[in-house]
Amino acid sequence: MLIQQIVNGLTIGGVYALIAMGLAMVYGILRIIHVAHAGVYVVGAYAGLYTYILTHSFILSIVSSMAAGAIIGILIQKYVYFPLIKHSPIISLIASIGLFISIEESMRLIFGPYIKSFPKDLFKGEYHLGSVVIGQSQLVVVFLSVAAIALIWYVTQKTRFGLALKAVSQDIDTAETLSIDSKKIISIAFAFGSALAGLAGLLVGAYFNSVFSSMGDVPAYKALAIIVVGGMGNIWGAFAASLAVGLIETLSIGVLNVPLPRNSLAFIFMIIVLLFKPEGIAGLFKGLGK
Amino acid sequence: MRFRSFIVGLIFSFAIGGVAFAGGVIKIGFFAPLTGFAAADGTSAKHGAMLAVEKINSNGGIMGKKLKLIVYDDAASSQQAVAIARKLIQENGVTAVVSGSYSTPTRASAPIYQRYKIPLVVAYATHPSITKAGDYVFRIGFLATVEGKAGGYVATKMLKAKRIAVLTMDNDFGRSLSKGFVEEATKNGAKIVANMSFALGEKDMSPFLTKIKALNPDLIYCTGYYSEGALTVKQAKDLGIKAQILGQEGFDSPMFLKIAQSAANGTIITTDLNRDDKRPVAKWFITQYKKEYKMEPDMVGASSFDAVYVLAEAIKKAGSTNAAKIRKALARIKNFNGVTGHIRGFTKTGEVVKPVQIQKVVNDRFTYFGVVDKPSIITPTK
Repeated sequence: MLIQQIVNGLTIGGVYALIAMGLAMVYGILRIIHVAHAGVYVVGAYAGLYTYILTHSFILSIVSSMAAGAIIGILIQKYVYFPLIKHSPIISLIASIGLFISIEESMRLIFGPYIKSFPKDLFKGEYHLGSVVIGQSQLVVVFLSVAAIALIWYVTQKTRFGLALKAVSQDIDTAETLSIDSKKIISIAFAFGSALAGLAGLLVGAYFNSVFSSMGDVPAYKALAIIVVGGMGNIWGAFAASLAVGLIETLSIGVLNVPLPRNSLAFIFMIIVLLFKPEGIAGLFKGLGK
Repeated sequence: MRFRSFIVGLIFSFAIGGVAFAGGVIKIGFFAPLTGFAAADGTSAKHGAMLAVEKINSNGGIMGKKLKLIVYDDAASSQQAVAIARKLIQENGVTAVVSGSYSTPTRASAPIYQRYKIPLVVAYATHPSITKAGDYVFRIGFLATVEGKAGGYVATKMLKAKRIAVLTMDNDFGRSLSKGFVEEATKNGAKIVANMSFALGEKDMSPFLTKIKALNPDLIYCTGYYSEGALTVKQAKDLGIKAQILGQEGFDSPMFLKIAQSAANGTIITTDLNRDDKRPVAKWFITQYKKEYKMEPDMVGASSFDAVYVLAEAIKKAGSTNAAKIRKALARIKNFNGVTGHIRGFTKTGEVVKPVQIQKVVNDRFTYFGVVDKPSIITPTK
């Protein structure tokens, strides 16, 4: 049973990681608390769902959810955050919250208040590994999360873009003097992070077979808690924190019988980590850091 | 100062004049969650209430006057429901009010209607304390403890369950249902092997279900709404759980079937609406609802229909829009043929007495499985 619970916890943690890593990437370069990231996630979920309804191809849904995420991300960055960048970060935070509410409510107005579901049984069946049972939907979520995380690792660690991203996030002015086009780098990072949020939206939508306009409410603040634990702009800190939160939630409920709602457990974890390691757990990932 | 009171007086006389001119209609206030997490239920509730108004008006209205529904969105929030109560009473001057909302907002606003002596008919909110607001509050849906008790009866007497796991949604609705269920089930000799609570909106039920699987019960009772319910049956199937899942009216929605897909089959629920009801009023409602709103009706819509319908009947019987007379007529309603069944009447505390419907999902639709009409189960005690 414990192994089964660990599998359950890692699945949900993998999904958290997709949302939180994109958010950490954005925070790392613009130092904006990008609440509207969860709005991008909602848009990605709807884009993926409708692509699936129209084409019955999950591969195309993945592409369209990421594309929709990237487009929305670029628009937000260009037309909302960039004009506000010279002002206090509080102003972009307020703009971000407003944007998030507007995105969710527009989705409700366009697609209606009802939960949308995928056409008949997108994923069916389960696999038995000894006493552990893994549903097909669980397997797809884990596989795609791992693939996306591997992609993030490759892009940030092995490409020139990754190097430029590191430079821009450390010091925009110095990066500029080294003839790095910081605007372009920021846009690409935004598009990339937002594409991941779009994919996360689709995966969560498919896993729980529910796409609805308010599905971003919980990720909006939980992803923030995760990146705070992970050391704000640190992508790999966010990754570790996501898995930790997923596991802690699941094990507290399913093994330790903690009678608290899942979402409060995430915040209790955040508070405990910050009490002992106010800089977050990022220090543990120095080698892989920013 | 004089001038100002003159202006206020002027506005007042216009306001009163307005009421006099609106003599051709009877205004019924209505609140439901049309936005937010409960928007689907709120929309169904609104559909049901509108259908009742349509039917009444097409039959000539009440006392030659047309019924007019004044609809507000409370987003399932108590604060908004309280503000709406004041608005309906003070600005709109409604004759009576129907709640198409959840327990928490209805519970918060019921005392206000009571204080202003405006009859309130509650469609499907289940919390016990709602009707405790006073004698102007009536409930057309089941009291949660009654429905929970009926669930306990179904589990132990009809399904013969011996070992039961309970998944309680941690809000007014879920807790009161589970309380009634556990009392009746243990009274009938079943063992409650687990009683775990989860938060409203929980999507990942697998930690709970993994635990339940190890306890090997023969029945799982879950008190979530349709989303939590659908994910419970879906994830239970994914985990290879074979126990019978018993739900309640929270599952009663076409959304339950859509989200759970094939995993929904076999689920049994206690509810208000029997889809295979042969009585004309129920048949008319089911066909008309599908025709007008292009979706399957649910218990929320049916209960809201009945709430407006019973209220209209009371106004007709009272022969007046006088609140005290309507209240009296409501209290005296007997043997009313509603969409949600044969309503025997209201108890002194304003609770409905009617049979509990048992539905089972077969071939992706809710079908008749049974009915609980044992007076000792369906009559609310205090």
